[in-house]
Amino acid sequence: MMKTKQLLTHCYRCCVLLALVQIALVQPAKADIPPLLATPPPEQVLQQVSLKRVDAMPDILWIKDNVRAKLLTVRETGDQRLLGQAQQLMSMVSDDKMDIELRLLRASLLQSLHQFGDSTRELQKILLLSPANAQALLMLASIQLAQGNYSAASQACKALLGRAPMLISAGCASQVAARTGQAALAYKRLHQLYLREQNNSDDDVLHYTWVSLADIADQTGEPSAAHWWQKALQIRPRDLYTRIGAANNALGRGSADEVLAMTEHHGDVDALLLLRVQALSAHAKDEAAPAKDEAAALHERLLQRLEEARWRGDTLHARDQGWMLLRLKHSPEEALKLAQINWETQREPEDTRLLLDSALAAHRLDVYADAKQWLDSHQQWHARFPMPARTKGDRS
Amino acid sequence: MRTIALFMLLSCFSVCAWSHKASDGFIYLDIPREAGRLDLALVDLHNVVDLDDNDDGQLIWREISRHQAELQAYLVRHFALSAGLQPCALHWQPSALTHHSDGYYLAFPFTATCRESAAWQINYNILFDQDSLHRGLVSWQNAEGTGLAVLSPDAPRYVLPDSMSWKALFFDYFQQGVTHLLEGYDHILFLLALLLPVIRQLALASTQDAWQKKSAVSRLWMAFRDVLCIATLFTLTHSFTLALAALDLARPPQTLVEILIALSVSIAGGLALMPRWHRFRHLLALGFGLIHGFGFANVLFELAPSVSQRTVSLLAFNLGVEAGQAMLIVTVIPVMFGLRTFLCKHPWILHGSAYGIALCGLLWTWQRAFL
Repeated sequence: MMKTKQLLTHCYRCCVLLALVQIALVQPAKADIPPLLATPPPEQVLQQVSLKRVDAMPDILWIKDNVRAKLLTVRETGDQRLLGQAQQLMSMVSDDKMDIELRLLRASLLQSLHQFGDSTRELQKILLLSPANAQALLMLASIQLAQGNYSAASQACKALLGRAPMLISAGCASQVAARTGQAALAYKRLHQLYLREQNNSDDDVLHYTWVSLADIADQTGEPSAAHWWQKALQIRPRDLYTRIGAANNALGRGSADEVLAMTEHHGDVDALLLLRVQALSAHAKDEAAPAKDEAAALHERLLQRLEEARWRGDTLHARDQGWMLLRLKHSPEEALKLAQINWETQREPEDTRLLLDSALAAHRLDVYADAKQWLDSHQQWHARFPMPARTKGDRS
Repeated sequence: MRTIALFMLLSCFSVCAWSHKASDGFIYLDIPREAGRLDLALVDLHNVVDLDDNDDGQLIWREISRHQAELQAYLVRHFALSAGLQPCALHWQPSALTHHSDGYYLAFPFTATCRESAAWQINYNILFDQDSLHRGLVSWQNAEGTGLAVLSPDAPRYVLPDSMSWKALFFDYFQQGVTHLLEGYDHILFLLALLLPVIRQLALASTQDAWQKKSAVSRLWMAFRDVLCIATLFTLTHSFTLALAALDLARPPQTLVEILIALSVSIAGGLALMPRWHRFRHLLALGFGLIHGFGFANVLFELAPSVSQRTVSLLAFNLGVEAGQAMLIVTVIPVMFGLRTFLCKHPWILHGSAYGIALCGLLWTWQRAFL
């Protein structure tokens, strides 16, 4: 056995060596500063700009038009700058000058900013002034649905009967029914009504119906989901919800090529970028460098955005950040924390899926069990929800 | 039937906003050098100064460079540094192009002349009148460390922390280190499993004549000597990997780390039952200490994902873990030392403990790997 003195000497030397290594490794932590670039050629295009600047004090009509346009563009581009600008414009209008249309715009803006409580209150004010307002009812139903308040959502959908096109009120009710144990029946009824009413419906109503059918078919794992997503995307190619839904569906079917086609030229939307990274990774297994290189570059870009969002303290996009933490950074505990925060205010299927996935990855069966209990209380399930290994095959 | 506005219909599918790079300005401050840089997105700058001279919807470098003076004039009105109550004079240098995750930005380097040596204060009011979601993201560096901050319309000012804050940070992370070790049952069981052979040797040695002739101090030293060696080896290696992981230099998958920690517990417990393998306990401490360090780092990272003063926090957390370890050893060894005769007469206690630890480790391994 080594003598005490020798042993301690060895330990001391190791200690000094490791201490020196640690000191060398420890560097001040700060955000990396991007390097300055060489001066580009004078004619090089650096940025596309389509935003109009406001020079003069706008009037209410101008504000209405601009806020409406910005909200529409946000649905198509996801550009948060437009939400901030819309919010700034709305702040110029005092409450006593708000008409129903402005209030609806404000409710929609608040919904986009995830201020669901304020948005709901705004919608309730509108309904006090105009109880038959279909737009307010539909928006209220969608917020309640997203938050998992299915009774309130159902009431709002019922109130739409006779006040909105039949396919809209039926689509609304079908989505609620699908999340409360009647997915197959809801799909069947909506499909039958669609077949009867399709020729009497405009593109907006058709798009709404196709997306509703696609959502419900996705939930039940029906193959027809792909067909409805494609139809919806053809008629509204710029709608982000449709594109993300269609790409998610394609990824679930293992069709990486379709995902790549749908996510090309959408480098600004993190949800689409993440899907693209996953599709490229699937490609990179079979092929080689180009897919791998692009996947690596996008991976890096997303991680950088994630760090900036965390620096910002941004919780508006907890779901996307949660997926990035889970799928890119492989940090299930962090992803689970975000998923839990997110799930407190919204319980759409993708929110629930993030919670379940991250709970399993983090070995938090207690969290999984609590979420499952809530789902069971509403008889809700989705084909993409994960199950723990031991209960695979035992859905009930 | 009233037509429902298109955007209302579109808004009804998903209430959640899709993550898109938000409007951020980046402020980098190097206080010892009295220098900094402000990066703003071209699309944001276009919102405050019309850069598109020919209204073709495209910004080219020639258009941007023509408006340098206007842009700097805007910055002068909306960005300021002060030290104490005195404003610092900012000397702007020619701007240059840079790139962030969402495209091209214009970087505005500057130097600052501050009359007082008090803590710096940033006053940031860029774009808040146009976009209430715009944020100023601050990264600063001073003699004591680094930090991050966020400026918003509700909080457009930020005072950089003074040099005393590292003390509070140190004690906070020291406490976290102690707490984590004492609440980390897998770490505790691993350590105890390493100590079981030592206790067994103590119990056997106490029956020998040579032991009886030793002084109380010598006997205690004999008890602590081996424990000290094992604990030191464990400390050295887990400190190393804790540092690697906390600094993002090496971060193996967390799940794998947790499984290996559980496995280390069962292996240590199993080896405690085999006297022939007791001589490998130092290697065990050395090897598995590396894994446990990654486990500690996960906690440190959760406490402060973007911690600025990492030197202080890492050192403090590490010392806290060591203090917790020392508390454990200082509690267990004297008790075991006092009970050595009893343990010698009832060897099943130590055997049973080793079995228990090994089984715990196996159960955790199974849970972490398969559930």
